[in-house]
Amino acid sequence: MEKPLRNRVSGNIPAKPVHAIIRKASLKVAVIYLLLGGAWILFSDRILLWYFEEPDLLTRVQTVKGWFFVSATALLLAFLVSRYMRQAYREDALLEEIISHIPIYVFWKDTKGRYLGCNQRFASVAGVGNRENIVGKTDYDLTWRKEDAEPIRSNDFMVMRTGKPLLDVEENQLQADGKVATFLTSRVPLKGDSDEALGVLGICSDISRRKREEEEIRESRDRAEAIVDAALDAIVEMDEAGSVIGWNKRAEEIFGRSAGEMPGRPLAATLIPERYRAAHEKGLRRFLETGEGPILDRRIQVSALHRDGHEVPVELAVTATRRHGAYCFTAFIEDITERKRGEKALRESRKRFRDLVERINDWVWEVDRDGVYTYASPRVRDLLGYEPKEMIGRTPFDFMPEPEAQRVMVAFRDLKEKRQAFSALENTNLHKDGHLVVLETSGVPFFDEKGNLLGYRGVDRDITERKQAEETLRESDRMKTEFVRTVAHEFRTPLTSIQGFSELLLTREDLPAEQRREFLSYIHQRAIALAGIVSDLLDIARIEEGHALPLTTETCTIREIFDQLGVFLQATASQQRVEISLAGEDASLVVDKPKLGQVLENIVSNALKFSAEDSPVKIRGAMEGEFYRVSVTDRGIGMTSEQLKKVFDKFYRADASQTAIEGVGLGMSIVRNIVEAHDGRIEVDSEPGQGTTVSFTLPREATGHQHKDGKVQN
Amino acid sequence: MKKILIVEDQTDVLKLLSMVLRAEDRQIFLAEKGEDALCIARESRPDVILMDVMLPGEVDGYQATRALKTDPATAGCAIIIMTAKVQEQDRIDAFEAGADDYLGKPFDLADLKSKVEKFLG
Repeated sequence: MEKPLRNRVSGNIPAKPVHAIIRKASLKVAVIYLLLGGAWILFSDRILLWYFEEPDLLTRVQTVKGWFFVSATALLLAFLVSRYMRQAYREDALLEEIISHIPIYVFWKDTKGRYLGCNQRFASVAGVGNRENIVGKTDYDLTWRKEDAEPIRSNDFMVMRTGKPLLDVEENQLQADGKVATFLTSRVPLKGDSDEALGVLGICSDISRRKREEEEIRESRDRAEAIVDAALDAIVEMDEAGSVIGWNKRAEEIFGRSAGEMPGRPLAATLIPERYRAAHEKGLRRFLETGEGPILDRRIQVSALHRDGHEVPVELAVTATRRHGAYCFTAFIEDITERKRGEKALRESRKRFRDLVERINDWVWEVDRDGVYTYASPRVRDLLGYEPKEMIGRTPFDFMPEPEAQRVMVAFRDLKEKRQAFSALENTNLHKDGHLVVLETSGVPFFDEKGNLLGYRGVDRDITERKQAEETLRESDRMKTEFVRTVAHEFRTPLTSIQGFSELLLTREDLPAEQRREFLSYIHQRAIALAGIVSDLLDIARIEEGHALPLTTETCTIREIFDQLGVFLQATASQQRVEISLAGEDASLVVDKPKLGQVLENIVSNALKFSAEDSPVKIRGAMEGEFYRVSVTDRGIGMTSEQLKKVFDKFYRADASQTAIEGVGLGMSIVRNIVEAHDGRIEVDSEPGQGTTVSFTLPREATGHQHKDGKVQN
Repeated sequence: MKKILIVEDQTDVLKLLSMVLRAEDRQIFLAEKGEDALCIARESRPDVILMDVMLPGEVDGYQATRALKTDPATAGCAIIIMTAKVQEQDRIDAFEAGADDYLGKPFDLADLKSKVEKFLG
């Protein structure tokens, strides 16, 4: 539509040839007419002269002939004029008709910018009504605004000034109906015969609708772009050559590259880590050649390059579309860094809990709402001796002896009914090998989303040893109390003498000197006994704190060691009951002599105490390899195996009810410590009713354990 | 002539007691074991018996006391239990065994004398 219009207005038909042709044609007609007229006169005169010789008649006939000729040419002229006139008028009307009805606007102006005319279509939008009314008016007089009129006029003048057409200029005009229309106007200069400017001819078309449609398209495109930009996924488009052609906002955020810098850049080099590039290019080539794209339209997880070089884990889907005959690839890319991090954190957290669950000493379990194990951590092996898979499907009560199983089942049922968590619930279980294991169970209920109880999860701790330790502690406590009472009692007995005799000495001055001396010696003896008890107590306290007994060693003979017993035996008047037979009496040992005296005294006094007054106590000494062995045998009441186990426990007395037998209960505990401090060993054999043998060894060579300076060595 | 029986296994304490309680109008009997004490008591029917609890042999002070108090022949003897065990429970045990009085060790000599003299009248 535009092209022919442009041709017509630009096809500038020259004025001169037209005039020449017209002139030439006119001359030709005149010559033809002259020749035809002249020929007619000559020919017709000849004929008349032939027929009419009479001059008078001839003259008359010639006059008639002259009138005939004039009439004929007059008729011809009239015919021609009417015919051309009619034709000219018809063409004018046709042109007028065309100009009025073509769907374009036409106007022409003189050199002053005044309208010479226009078609009716133009007149209508210019607001002048009939088209004749526009003649003589300028653009200022028309309906459009002054600011629209100015550029129109300046374009008119420019065309007239330069003599060149001005094509396809967009102009806005306020129209008679109040709307602003956009016209696409082309102007050609109107020129006179001598090329002088006569005015300007303008042809315009209304492109308002086209403009509006363009606007709408642009808006719609902008909207689409905004949507693409606002998308949560990065949207990246690539052409067949592998260049980026689309890059949305989210892509800017994820990859650190702005949309401005991306179009035209090779996608592979900017976005794909080096190790994937070859595969990417190969895949692209393959798709373009064969149409096969195995990764297209699937969600895949890969890494992409950020501008700063680090890799971003992404999930993407690529679709291929055809556009203008070529493929275009659109990738929807989701940054899954957070998801990956979350997954990693979850994995780590799972591993952490798993590690904890499997490594803690407690056994971790889960039961369903019927109390059936659904999980058991491997630690159960150590606690109950069963494999975790052996636990699954069984209940905790299956591992308890009766009536414990019944008791715990009832307790668990109560807890379950109240949906209660519990902690430190003690229960006794049977180990796979049959021994009893005391467990401390803690658990919490867990529920589904609707709040229905699903089961319990918890831990079991083996407190068997703790229970035993508690029992031992209680026993030890009981023994301590017993001990304190015994100690008090043991103190009171010598104190009775000391207090009584000293009071007697203080109040009875009449006593003879000999008797006074005797009483004082009682006091003295009892005070020494008290000191001994105190010393024993201190030794025990020291051992209790984890220190070895301090030894002050010296080299002495076997005889010297045993001679210490003499004083004790005299004091207890039991020499006759004791038989001593020693091998190698002159052999010497490196020992703490007073402490060994204490050992012998203890063992012998026990033997005397726990046997009948007339039964013998035998003491034997013999070489035994690198050791010297001493044994003390009585035929007394002996001990049961229970008593034997406790014989070296501190505070232990063979029988607390055996009140007649003195002793703090420290003796054997201290004895063992002294013997072991010498690197010796002590053992007790006993049979109830048969008697007891206590024997201990002493190394014959001094060992590093013994110190002459008596320092404590652990 | 008042008769006093002292049952005590510690020789020095026995000596101390006999020293303190000796008087012109009194006869003192000594025993070191529960069995001996029972024999002497049955033979001589002492007015007061000072009875130690912890005694060697089969019979301790409580058992001896119980035996003497259940025997009509000796039920009239006043028995003073004498012991180094001075817990409340020991005191109760003493009276449950049938003792007439209780003397904790160690003791004041005056205390001892007044308790004995109370039963001697």
